[in-house]
Parts: sequence; structure tokens; C-alpha cells
Amino acid sequence: MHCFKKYCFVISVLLSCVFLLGWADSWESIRKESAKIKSVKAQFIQSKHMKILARPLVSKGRFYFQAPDSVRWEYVSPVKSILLMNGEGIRRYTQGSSGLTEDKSGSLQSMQVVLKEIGQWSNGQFSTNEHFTAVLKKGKEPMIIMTPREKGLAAMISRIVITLSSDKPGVLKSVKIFENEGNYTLFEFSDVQVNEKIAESLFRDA
Amino acid sequence: MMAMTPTLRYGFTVLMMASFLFSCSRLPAIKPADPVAAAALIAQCGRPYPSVPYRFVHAIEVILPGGSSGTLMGVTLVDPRAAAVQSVMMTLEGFVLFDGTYDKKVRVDRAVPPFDKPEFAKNMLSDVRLMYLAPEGRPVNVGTLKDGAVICRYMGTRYPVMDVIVHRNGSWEIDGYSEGEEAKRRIKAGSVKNGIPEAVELKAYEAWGYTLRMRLISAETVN
Repeated sequence: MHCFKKYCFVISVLLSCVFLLGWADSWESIRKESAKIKSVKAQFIQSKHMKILARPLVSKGRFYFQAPDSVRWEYVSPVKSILLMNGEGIRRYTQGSSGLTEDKSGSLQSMQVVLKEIGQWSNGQFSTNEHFTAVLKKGKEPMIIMTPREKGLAAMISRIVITLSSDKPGVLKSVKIFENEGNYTLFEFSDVQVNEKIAESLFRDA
Repeated sequence: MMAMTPTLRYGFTVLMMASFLFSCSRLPAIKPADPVAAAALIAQCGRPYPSVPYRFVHAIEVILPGGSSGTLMGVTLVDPRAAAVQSVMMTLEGFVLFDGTYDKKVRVDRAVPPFDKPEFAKNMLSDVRLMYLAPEGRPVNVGTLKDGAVICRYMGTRYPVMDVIVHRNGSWEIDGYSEGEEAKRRIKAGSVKNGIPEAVELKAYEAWGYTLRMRLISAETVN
């Protein structure tokens, strides 16, 4: 899929946002705090909002990250799906009519892009990102607002808003990806645990 | 012309035989119903189609030629009174790939490459209409099949020939054929609960045929 590369980039943004655990006084403090993150695990709730839907379409899942580049992005409902990234590459398994099967479409190869992006974002390098401009809004609930630099990407994503927790410094609250008017996806994270041991097999086995 | 290796020749033969078998998928024979019974059977043939506006959410497993597959989420809005449908396809992460409507004509509100080809929108919405909107007009033939299933045959609507088959167990099938009576689309709906199928399979018998396996997430009427 041609769109997949750009879509993957969005996902990379999303994933990397979870690493954004430094208290956001300045880009420098974000960079400093992000460097301390070695592992992250969290639960997430994804709510898709669209005009065609009377109420949001809700998906739930779990997220794991281990520095430098291992990720497990797992949906538990309504469709079980597991995305695994590690030093050996990337794989995706989805529950289908013949059980949990690997996506053989080959399109996931472009997810390699994610690894590069994650490296950049996990170092807190928002202000120097080549795809988005980033504005840091300080306040009770600090926010980072990202706007696409390229026209092509802007046609798919109008902006991304990352909100950091007000009562738990260093913890991400949500990521909101706006596609167009009335169409956005909200990811809310909970039970975020930082720098705890994560079994290596989680990044290898579905 | 490039010479064919034995493996290539074998593969080509198998492919040709497979496409021949599909193209030879003939219309099933109908045991015609008498005029009195026909009205009741025609009513049964309306069972696959919602009579009021509905919203469906499905997990859709897309299987492409060669066996590659992927899973998407689909939201479909059906308005039988206006004979209109809206279809949205998105990734599991919620990224919208396609948002199109058929309401007397095709309108695309969002289409991300490679879903931005006009042919894709036309075919996609045609499949959705085949699945959810009853064919126009009266059937030209009504009756039963060998196994007792009810069948209504329509001609010259969306497909030159279109069969709606309702089985005794409540499941149903909608088949579209070409003028040469070759199967073009086959929709099978099963695990029907309260009139709504929990599983639907659509097979497209084209040069680049595909299969959609849809699992119902939610269904609700729309006010």
C-alpha cells in the first residue's frame, strides 16, 4: 500500500509519544528526560470519532517498548492484532478466519521507517523533525501541537495534539490525531510503567 | 515470445483451469413456484436487506490474489429508502483510507492511495449496494432450489443476472452474474441473529479477484 508509509509514520509518532515522559518545560528538558527512558509499558484505549459514527468506535490494547528499538503494539479488542518490531524487522499478526495469522502482504516492510523515527523522537527531537513542526504549549496540562510540513501529509493529517498529565509529571495523558473536520482518533494511556523489566519474548512471539 | 519453463507452463495451466471453472459457474436451476406461493417467497427474498436505515461496523479480512491478506475496520451506513450507502474503511489504528457514498451517484470524501482510483470507489460501493440494497423491480423467476432454499432471480438490474437465495437455516446468498452467466460476485451471509448476519463473505471473480471476510462488530438502526 502506497499510503502505508505515511500511515506508518503516524503510528511511529504515536508510539514515540509514549516515550515523551519528561516534564515539558522546554524542548531541552524533554530531550533530557527522554534520554532516561529505557522501557515503557502501558494500557491504551483508542476512540475513533467520525461523523458516520453515533458514538466512538473503541479499541483497547497494550503497548511495550524496550530501548533502543523493540516495540509490541497489541490490540485485544475488538480485533486481536499484534505488531512486533525488533532488531530482526517487523511482523504483524491479526486474528482472522484461520486464527492468528501473519500479515504476508509485504507492506509492513515500510514500517522500518518507524524505527528511524522512533530513534529521533525518543531523543525528544521534536523541534528538528523533518515531517512536522512542533509547538510546545506550557500550562497546567502541557501540550505539544504538531502540524505537517508537507502538503501531501497535511492532506491526511491536519494536526496531532499530545497532552501530558497535569498531576503526574512525566506521564503522557493522550494523543489526538486529527485527520479532517469531525474525524479524529484519540489514544488515552493508563497504567504507564517506566523502566521496568520486560521479557524479551514479548517482542519476539505473538 | 519468451519460452515457458515446465513450472511456468504448469502454473499457467492451473490458472487457466481455475479461471475456467469459475467462469463456468452456471446459474442454479430453479423449481418455479406457483403464483400463489410466489408472493410469500418474494417476501422471503427481502430478508437480506434492511428495511430501515442501519449502521454496521465490521472487521474486514481482505484476501488478495496470491494469499496476501490484511485486516481493516469498515463502517457502513445503509439507507434503503433513499437507496443510498456510505462506506468508510480504516486501519485498525483508526486511519481512514476510504470514505465514499453512493446516493444516485458516487461521491468520494476521502481516499488515500491506492484507494484513490475512481474504479476502486465505483466497485467498492457497488459491492456494498449488492450486499445491503434490494434489487430494483420484481424478480423474473421465483422458486426453490434442490435443497429447498428460496431463490429469486432478477435480470438487468445491477448485474445482468442476480440471484438472491435464502436458505432454510436463515443464512443467505446473493450472486451476481455476467451476461454470459459467469459468476462475478458471490456473497454468503451466515450466523444470522435477529436478522443480522455475524459473518459475511464476499468473493469477487475478476481477473484480480479478491475475498472479503467480514465479522460483525455492531449493528444498529439509525434515526
